[in-house]
Parts: sequence; C-alpha cells; structure tokens
Amino acid sequence: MIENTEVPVFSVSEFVEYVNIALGQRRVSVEGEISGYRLNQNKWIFFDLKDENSIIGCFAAAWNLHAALEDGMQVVVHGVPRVYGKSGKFSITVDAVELRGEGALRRAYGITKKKLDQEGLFDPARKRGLPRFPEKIGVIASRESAAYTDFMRIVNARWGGLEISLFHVQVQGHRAIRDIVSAFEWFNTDGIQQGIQSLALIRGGGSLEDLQAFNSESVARAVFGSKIPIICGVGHERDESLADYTADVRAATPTHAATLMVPDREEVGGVVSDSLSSLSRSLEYALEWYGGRIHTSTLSIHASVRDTVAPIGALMHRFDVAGGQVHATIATLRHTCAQNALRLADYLASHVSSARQSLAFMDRTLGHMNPLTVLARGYTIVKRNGALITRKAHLKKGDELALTFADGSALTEVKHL
Amino acid sequence: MTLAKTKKDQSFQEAFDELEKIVKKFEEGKLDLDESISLYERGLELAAVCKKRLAAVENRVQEIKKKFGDLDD
Repeated sequence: MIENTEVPVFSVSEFVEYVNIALGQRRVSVEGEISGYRLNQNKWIFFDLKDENSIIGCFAAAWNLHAALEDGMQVVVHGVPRVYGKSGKFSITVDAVELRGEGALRRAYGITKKKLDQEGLFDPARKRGLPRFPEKIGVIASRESAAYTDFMRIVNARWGGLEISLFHVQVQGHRAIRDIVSAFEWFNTDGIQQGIQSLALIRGGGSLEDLQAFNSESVARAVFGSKIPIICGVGHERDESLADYTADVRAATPTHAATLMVPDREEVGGVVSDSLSSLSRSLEYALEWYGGRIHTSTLSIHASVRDTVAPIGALMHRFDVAGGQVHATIATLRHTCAQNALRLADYLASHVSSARQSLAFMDRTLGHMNPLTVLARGYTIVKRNGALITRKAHLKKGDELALTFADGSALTEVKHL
Repeated sequence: MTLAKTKKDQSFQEAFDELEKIVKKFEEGKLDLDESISLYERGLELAAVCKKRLAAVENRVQEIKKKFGDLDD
C-alpha cells in the first residue's frame, strides 16, 4: 500500500461529523421487517430493520412516530442515516414510518384500535351532534382528491350561503399524518375563532395501506381532540378507519358526509311549506272552532231569550185577554148605565108629571087661601099702625085705620062704636 | 359570488327553530284566538325569512394558508 499524503487525516470526531454531513444530505426511505422493537423511557424507540441478507438499526423519538409497531411488521422508514459518535453505531434516525403489507397494517390497526378503545376514544357517550343548519364549516381534505370534489358537489347541490374553510392536506404518504394533525390544530384555534361550527375529515377509499394515516393513533387523537364537532367520511362503506370510530359522526363515504353535514334545501323548503300549511290549517281549525262556539253561544242566547220572552208573551197574552174582559165589562157597564139612565129618565118623567099635577092642585088650593083672592071677593084687611085688627074690641074711637082692598088701600077713622 | 346574507338579527337556525316551536304550539292546540292570530303572523314572517335564506345558492370556499412551516404542496 502506498500512502497518499494528499488525503486529509481526520480525528475520529471529525470523521464522524464528516460522514454525518455527507449522509445527511438527503433523506432516505428503507423498507424492511422490524425486529428487536423496544421503547425506552416511553420516549425513545429502537428497532432493527432487516431483510434476508442485511440489518440496519433505527432510532426514533416516540412522539414523532405515529404507527403502532411490532416485531415482524413490514415497514418503510423515512429518515436520515447517521453515525452515533459515542457508540460508533450506524443507524437511521426515523421521522416517519409507513406500514407495508396487509399483515402489518392489520396488526397495527388491531393494536391501535384496542388501545384507543380502552382509553375511551370511541365512547358513544362523548359524541356530539352536528349543528342542523351550519353557516360556517371546515373541511380537511386533499383539494385534488375526487373525495373533495364529490363532497363539494353534494354540498353545493344541497345548500347555499355557506362559508367553507378548506384545509388542504396530503391524505396518504408520510406527510399525511402531520398535515392532518396540523389541520386540527388550526381548526382548534383559528377555526374556532372564525366561528366554524362543524368539521369534515374526508378521503376517498383505498387499500389499508393508503388509509393508514386515518388509522394512526395521532390522527385518531387529533379527531378525538377536535373542539369542533367532526364528521369523518373516509373510504368506501366497508372501510372503517379509526378516525371514523373516533369522530362524532361517522359517514360511510365523503358524499354521505356532505349529506349529513348540510341540510337539503328542497327538504327544508318542504318542511317550511308544510309548517306554513300546518299553521294555516290550525288557524282555520281554530277559527272554525271559535265560529262553532259563537254559533252555539248564539243558539244558547236565542234559547235563553226565548225562555225569558216566552213568559212575557204569555203575560202579554193574558193581559190582552184580561183587557178584552175589561172592555166587555166596560161595555156591559156602559149598557147598564144607559138603560139605567133611560129608566131614570122615565122614572123622573113620570114623577115630574105627577108632581106637576100635585103642584097644580096645590096651586089651586093655595089660590083659594090667598088673602088677595079673599079681598077680591069683597073682604077688607084692617090694620092699625101696621098691626092686623081682627076684633071690634080692639078698637076705640078716633083710631086711624088702614083699610086694604083687593085693588088698593084707604085710610079711615073710627067714629062710632 | 358574495354570500347572500339573509339574516339580519336571526340566523336560519333560529328562524327555523322558532317556526317549529310555533307549529308545535298550534298542534298542542292550547292557544286562544288572539294568540293564534299573532303567532300565525309571526310564523308567516319566519317562513319568509327561511325561504329567503333557502334561495341562497352560492357557497364560498376559502383555503386555509398553513403557517406551520410545512414544505411543498
């Protein structure tokens, strides 16, 4: 061997740093099977990645890995290769792990599901309802995905006037989990402030591998921690992601999520119209009912008036009858009076004529007794100083006497007795 | 493209809820005639508010700009 003095000589530390700078230029993705998995202090994860011929160590911070890992799982790790100075060990510092193969995915799914279930993340009791008529909604989806297009198509067909906040995320690949988790962080802070009332996490269907972000513990916890009620519509109907289980409302597909999230204007319009008809009917019914009552009341008043008036009528009738009787009585009395008057007149007439005869007789009798009549027959009335002298004995010589004849008086003197 | 702001004081939800309550009250049938008529008038108003809101067609989408220092998109 010939020494080449042109080649620089490093110290060990310098060399490790040199190698690390060279290795750190680019991220690597390596597929293999996990073995020797262990978790230190709940913080650091160590495992080996191997295939038929080779093995490489892997190191990760537990908070940075979102997949449930077990020995024997086929995975792709993403990270940066590095030599650790203290141990001289070469390993990959892993910042993301994707599960590969149905077996690994099923096992990870099973482990995570059991763990989260025990923690109560799927508890039906904590699930919230979505607002019936949201004005502002949030969507976590890939803007290029068919799922998002389908979702929006249905939303636009059903309802208008919405303010929709789209948080674009990768829905598969190693970035998916971080994107989705940061979307939830945004909605839990700014989204809440903006008054977003419900949230949809959507993705089209795919293989277990495609959907693994939605089966990750991190996304499930982000869904669980959402302050805004959330509906999850991932994959086709047969796919049940852990995000689905954790969400307040689970939709079978993205389009189904749209129908559960926003009302349908046709349907609501129908309800409004039905409400109006119901109100009109009820009012008509009420009016009819009150009308009926008024009618009944009127009848009742009629009846009551009739009951009151009838006795008065009877009384009037009786009064009329009585009046007739009074009339008849008066007529009878009048007739009787008239007859009595006639009889009285006859009676008076007959009495008057007999009285007249008596009178004539008495007149005649009186005529005989009248002194003047006697004088006419030759008798004379003698008075002295006005006093009647009927005897000679009352006279004395020289008395002046007044003599009254039928046709006048004369004065005389007694001369001889 | 602007959002049709049909609500002034009352959101669609509030108007719709109030309308439903009025219908329910009518169905319970414990109203006197005066109440019936004034509630009926209120129902008409609310239905008009709802229908106006139902006429809104456009939805507005805003995309959230991430500020978490993420890489490409």
